[in-house]
Amino acid sequence: MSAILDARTQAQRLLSESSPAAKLGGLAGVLLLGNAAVQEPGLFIDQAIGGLVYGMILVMISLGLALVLGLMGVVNFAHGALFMLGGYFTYAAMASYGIPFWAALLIAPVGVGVVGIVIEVVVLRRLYGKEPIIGLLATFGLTLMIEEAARFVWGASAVQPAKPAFLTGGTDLGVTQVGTYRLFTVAVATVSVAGVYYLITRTDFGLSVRAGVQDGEMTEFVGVNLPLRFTAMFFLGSAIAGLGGALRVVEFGIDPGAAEEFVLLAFVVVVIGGVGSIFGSVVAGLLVGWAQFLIPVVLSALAVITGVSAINVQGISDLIPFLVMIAVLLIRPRGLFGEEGLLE
Amino acid sequence: MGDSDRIGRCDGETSSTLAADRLSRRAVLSGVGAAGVTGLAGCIGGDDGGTTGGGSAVDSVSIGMVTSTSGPFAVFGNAAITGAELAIEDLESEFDVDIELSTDDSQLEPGTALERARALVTEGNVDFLTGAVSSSVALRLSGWATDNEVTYFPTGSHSDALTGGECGKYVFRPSASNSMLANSISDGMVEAADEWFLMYSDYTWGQTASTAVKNALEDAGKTVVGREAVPFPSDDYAQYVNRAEASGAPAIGVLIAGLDLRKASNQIIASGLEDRTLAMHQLEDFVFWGMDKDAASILDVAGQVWGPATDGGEEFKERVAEQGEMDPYVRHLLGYISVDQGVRAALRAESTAAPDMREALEGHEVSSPIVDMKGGGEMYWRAGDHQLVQPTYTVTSRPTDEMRDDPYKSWFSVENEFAGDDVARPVEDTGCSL
Repeated sequence: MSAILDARTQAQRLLSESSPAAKLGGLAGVLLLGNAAVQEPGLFIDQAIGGLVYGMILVMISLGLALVLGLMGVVNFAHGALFMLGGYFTYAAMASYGIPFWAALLIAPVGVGVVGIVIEVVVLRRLYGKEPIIGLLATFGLTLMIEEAARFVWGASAVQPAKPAFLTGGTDLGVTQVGTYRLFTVAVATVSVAGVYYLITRTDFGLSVRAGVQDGEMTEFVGVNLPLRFTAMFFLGSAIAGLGGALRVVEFGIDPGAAEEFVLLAFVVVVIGGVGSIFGSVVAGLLVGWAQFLIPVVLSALAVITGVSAINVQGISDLIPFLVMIAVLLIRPRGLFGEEGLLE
Repeated sequence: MGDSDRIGRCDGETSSTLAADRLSRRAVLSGVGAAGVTGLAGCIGGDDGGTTGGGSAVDSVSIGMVTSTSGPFAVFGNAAITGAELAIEDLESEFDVDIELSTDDSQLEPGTALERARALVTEGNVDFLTGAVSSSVALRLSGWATDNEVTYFPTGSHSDALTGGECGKYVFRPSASNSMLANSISDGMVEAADEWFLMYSDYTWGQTASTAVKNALEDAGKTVVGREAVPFPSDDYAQYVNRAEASGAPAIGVLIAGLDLRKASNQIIASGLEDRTLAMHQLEDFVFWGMDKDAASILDVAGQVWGPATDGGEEFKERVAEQGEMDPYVRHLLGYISVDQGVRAALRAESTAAPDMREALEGHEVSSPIVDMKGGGEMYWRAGDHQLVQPTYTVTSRPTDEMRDDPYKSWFSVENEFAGDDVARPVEDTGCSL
């Protein structure tokens, strides 16, 4: 309940801080969506649900990054590589060792979390308090190393373990049918978001980490073992990235290129949501998901009423996350729910 | 006089005049790569990568293969390499010739592929090039090969442009074109439904495939109610499947490349559309082997260049299967054909110079083992566009209990075989003016 109240407060704050131009843009967007909904109601509903599902998958992918970047201030470019490792660990557990899906879903994230601990202790701990670009370059280097290691061990081709039989096929939602496995991913993402939110905002552990980020010296002065807490946070962020990869590999398979493919998308989501805000990342993930699914419908509906077929741009879908990011940053450089002053 | 002759006649003659007047661009490139500018001023060429010119027999051939060995097309590139290696085994045992294969990864980037192909020619001194899975890569290599007099076999590209508006003097396509495959399945698609929705990968291959299939359907009086370009590769096909569903078309043409076809098929099933007629103009068996058999059994009609169910080439299929990496499918054969046809052309021409190989290939009626592998139908290199005219097939899914896994996977059955001349566009319609 308190989480919902927090969300409402943040949404109200966003509205109150929006410029008249931004409000006008929002109104135009609502009208365009309405036009699309009237012209193609069936498709609009399908895409709205599809966008919600895809948005939650994006949230799952970007949650770990939001945690590490937002709370610890580390620009962790290796997030994509950790995501990829989660996929490979799951594949190895299921295909090579015959471990059941449920156990693999637990083992792989823990394994990735351990890799995260090694990265934090060996590399990142020496970089806290330094220019963010140093951390970015270090984690970029780590990404290349992990990618090549994965290529060496599992090869360049995509690998994919078998999907559990009860998660195959589709589930009828009444108005549309969605893949059962995708719904499972949404459920896991929802539980993960709720768990992380609770940990950060409602536990002593979360409080001490947030205190440490704001004033590390004072926090340690009162007896908090801050390095240990930061390591634990990095473990958590890495494990969540690994969980995202574990869910992904079973649905679509994974190859070494996934490391870079998804880290960009994760950064887009975090930047749109606002660095430092987990709630913002959730909203941004959903926003990007909906935008990717609904903007093509909006454009085709607009092409119909204007008679200008060129408006219905084909193949625009992959550009949409970046267009949304540009639009948000132009209007609000700190992102939707970012801390005031950051990037402004 | 062939170019090898010209290269062989360097004889210590100096100079850029020689290069300008008497050497082909390819020889200049090779000389620059091998010897640098100073070498060019001295003596270029010599034995041209192990071959001998002047009418003497070719006793060694060096082949460069630039293909995808990483990323979403890696399984296709690696299979083509396996096929090429088998062809080398066969050719070396049949002829007194040493064959060397150098491979490099295109990384699916036309620029990277070109850089690596150029290095293979100029630094590796390969005699001819093969490779490419992506049409974008193949088209870039094709343009460069034409400009620089290098023979090139675009192993796995189906784009009509390669043997159409962007055909090249020294470029010979061993696979079937998109229009050949579209014409092969058009009868089946026309019979199956009156209205179609087409989803296609948004790059050269998919765009030309979509146009070819659309034309074939509309020529037969059918309606294409919608076409949707899908970014390739794409991590999510749900929105495109939703559009196909909303179109109300009883049939869906899935013109999606590579392993993305697996993603698209899975999401079609998840969305409950498997009851609609599903057609794919280019089936590569491997794509479906990653799915369970129930999912793979949804396919109604598909075009195919070759597959494990094709009649013929049993020994070849078993040799591929024995390698243990992958069961035999079309990419193995395309790798085999590229090397087989390139080396045989060099041997016939007694030269590896591009103009000589071109002469040996244009209009050539194929009589090598690949004819048996493709079921015995007529195969020849059409002079007007450098397309290997060859049989094509339509296939359909077998019932799951009839899908065979041993000694290699064979999940589809051949419905029809088409003579290449019946499905290939007339040369005058291709836009190629060789």
